[in-house]
Amino acid sequence: MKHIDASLVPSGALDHRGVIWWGNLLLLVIETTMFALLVAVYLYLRQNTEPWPPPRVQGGPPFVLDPNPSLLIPTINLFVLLVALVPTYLADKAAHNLDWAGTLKWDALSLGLGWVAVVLRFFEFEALHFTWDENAYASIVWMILGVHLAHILVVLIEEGNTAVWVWRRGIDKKHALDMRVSTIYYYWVVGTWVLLYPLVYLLPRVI
Amino acid sequence: MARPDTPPPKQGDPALTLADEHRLLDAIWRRPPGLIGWLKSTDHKDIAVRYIVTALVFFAIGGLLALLMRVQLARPENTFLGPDLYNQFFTVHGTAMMFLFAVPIMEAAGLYFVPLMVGTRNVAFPRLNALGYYAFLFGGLLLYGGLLLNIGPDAGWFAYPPLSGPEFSPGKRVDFWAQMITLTEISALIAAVEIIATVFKMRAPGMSLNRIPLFVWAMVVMAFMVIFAMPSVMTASTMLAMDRLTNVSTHFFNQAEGGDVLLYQHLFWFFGHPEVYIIFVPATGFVSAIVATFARRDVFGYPAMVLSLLATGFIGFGLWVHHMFATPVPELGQSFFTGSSMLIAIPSGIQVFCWIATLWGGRVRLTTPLLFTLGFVMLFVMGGITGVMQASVPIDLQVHDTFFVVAHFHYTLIGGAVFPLIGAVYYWFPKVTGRLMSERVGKLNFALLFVGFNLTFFPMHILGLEGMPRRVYTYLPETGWGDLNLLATVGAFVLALGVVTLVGNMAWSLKRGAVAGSDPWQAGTLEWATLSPPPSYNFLRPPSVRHRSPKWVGMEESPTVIGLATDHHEVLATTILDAAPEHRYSLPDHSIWPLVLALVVGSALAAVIFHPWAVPIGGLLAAVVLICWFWEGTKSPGIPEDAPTEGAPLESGSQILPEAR
Repeated sequence: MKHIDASLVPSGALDHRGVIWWGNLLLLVIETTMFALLVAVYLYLRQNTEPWPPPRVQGGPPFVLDPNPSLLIPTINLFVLLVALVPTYLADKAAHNLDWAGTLKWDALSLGLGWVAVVLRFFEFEALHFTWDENAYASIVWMILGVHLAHILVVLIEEGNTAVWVWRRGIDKKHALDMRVSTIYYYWVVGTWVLLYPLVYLLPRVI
Repeated sequence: MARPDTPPPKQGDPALTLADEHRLLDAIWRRPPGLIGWLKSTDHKDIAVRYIVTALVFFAIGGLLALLMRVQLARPENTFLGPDLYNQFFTVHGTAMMFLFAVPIMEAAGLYFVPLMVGTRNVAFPRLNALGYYAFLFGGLLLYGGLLLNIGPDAGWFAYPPLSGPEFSPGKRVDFWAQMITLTEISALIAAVEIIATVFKMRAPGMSLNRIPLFVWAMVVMAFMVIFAMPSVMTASTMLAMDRLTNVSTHFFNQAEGGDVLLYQHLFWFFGHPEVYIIFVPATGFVSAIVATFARRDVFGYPAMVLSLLATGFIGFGLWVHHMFATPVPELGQSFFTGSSMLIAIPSGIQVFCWIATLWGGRVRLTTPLLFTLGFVMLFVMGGITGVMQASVPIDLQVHDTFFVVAHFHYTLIGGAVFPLIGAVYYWFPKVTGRLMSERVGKLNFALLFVGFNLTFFPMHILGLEGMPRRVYTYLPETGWGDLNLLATVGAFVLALGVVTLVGNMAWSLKRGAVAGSDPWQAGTLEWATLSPPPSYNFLRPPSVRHRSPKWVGMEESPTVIGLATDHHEVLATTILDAAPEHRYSLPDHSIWPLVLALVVGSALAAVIFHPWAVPIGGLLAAVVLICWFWEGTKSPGIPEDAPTEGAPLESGSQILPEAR
């Protein structure tokens, strides 16, 4: 009887060969589908409403206000998220070199910038000028921002959790893989915002 | 991580006998004893059986509701059910059959048999799998709980606004529906991820893409459809719930504030049409398995079969607007969706002809599973033909919202999915329980179901063409619909008798059926290569594969896998395309956290029916539970540093993957 000796192949895999890597990818496919649906809803509602965004009025002068969302805070936040990619990348690299101190240092920076983005997101809601229950435009932009915020929180909790583990118990290959998975998730969270930011903030001003 | 001085023996260690290996493996893979152990189980077989039993109970209740509706419709101006109860019944019946029976039970068949058919020991993420089951259970309890309190949803299984919106459906009825959707779709998505990851990464060495059983292919296609379809209904139902919830009151579907009710229909049917194929595609997997076994040959045209499944998966997403032909769809859109609705008949037709060719060229044994399969072919072709008829816009407008549509989709869903499913129950019952079901009762069972089904639903074609509308609780005697309705009601009782016979046969056979042995049907796929019922670890020595039907072609000479740990849950991961051995993958132990997380998420979603603060509070609690879940998982041994690098040669003489197909 011939055998295949499994003890001759490595234990665990740190990259796209890992099973959890595929699980994470499938999760991201699900989430991407959901964001694509939100974009479709946004564009569908837009064809119903002219002008878009709907007029924003108030009781006193000047009576009619600019309905477009303000750009300052949202644009700062976009850059915060983009900058956060650098320490996230370096933390992942350090984890793969099993460099405990480097992992924690860059992770702290990555998490810190992530939490800054969370705080700024609350000011972004204000920059929309509408509350969610004023009209369908406001409902969908609030939902896009809110669902994306939920994903930022998820990745920060996931990565923070792994970081605490590494801090308390040291870095090993299994947790280097966990770090890789949450890093990919982080990239994805920022990547979706690179696509959603122009939809929410720029497109209504351009066309 | 520190390692003990003497590492625990691995499988194949000369110090271990096969009996030792069994003892050690069973000790770690078997769920812990007692009720707590039962709740902690992450064995895919335990979870799948729970799914199946729960879905069958939900199916029985849904069927009972249908029977009561048939009693109401048996004669004109009947007063057995009032209009309100009738509305709740048809809504809950449709919702339960789709979300609590058809999809979960198909996925459960995948969760039970995919790991066995690909020759591994569990699904890819066992704790997540348990979470999926509990989420499904709570979703079902929520829906039926609402009905028991006489506040069941009553706006149809699709819950179209504005009828389901805050203005025309005040109260909390529709919210039960919306939260049930979220819970059951979480469960469906989890099962889909499990199936895909297991098939991609955990196949037996040598099971390259062209040797994957058709059943497993069908499950993978279904899982991908779930991944792309389910988010749509979750988005729609969440938006509906937010529109309805005081304190939130969004306007997604409120025309007055720029919302759109047709947007809801698009979102719903972008899920709803693929849903039909999510139910049908796994059923074709059952049929392929059963036909191959009882024709005693591989299914004719394997590449055509696989390509048809994939084509169905893609085209299935291009049909949804044909549910909306009675709304203002642009003419070009109508033509496109008419075309694609006819197009999808082609891959289905290819599969039907391949099965016929298989039977034609095989040595057929006419057992109960095959009978149900033959019944399926006939009924599904009938349902398919009425489907192609309705792809035409003028016919669709004529029969829209009539009993013709009810007849059509019961032929496709019961004929196309429930008949193969019952065939599958007869076929795999001996594997799951170790005992065969009675063949004689099985044939009676088939006769009752086949006759009862046609008596119930065939007259509905005629009633529909005569103009009888759907979703009305009664009709006038002058319409002349009474006789055919009475016939359908009589048929429904025959059908119910058939279901009772099935359940009776299962219950009787569980204790007194003939002992099956590992392979009562002389089938070709791997699930029959282990004991019945399978041991906790599935395969003592996981197999490798050189053929599409490995049990039929020289399985004795295929090498088996040794070198896996005996002290924790370890499986062999293989490459995606060729299934060459790649690395060892450690699975977590049994765990209570999936149940706890499902309780938190389920309570939060039930509470959000009443107040939006349930979302942040529930989210926070869920995060705490997930952190506990993570820290528990780290108790399993980490990855040792001294493992050989990738590409280490396998033991001499064990190179596998010959060129044979």
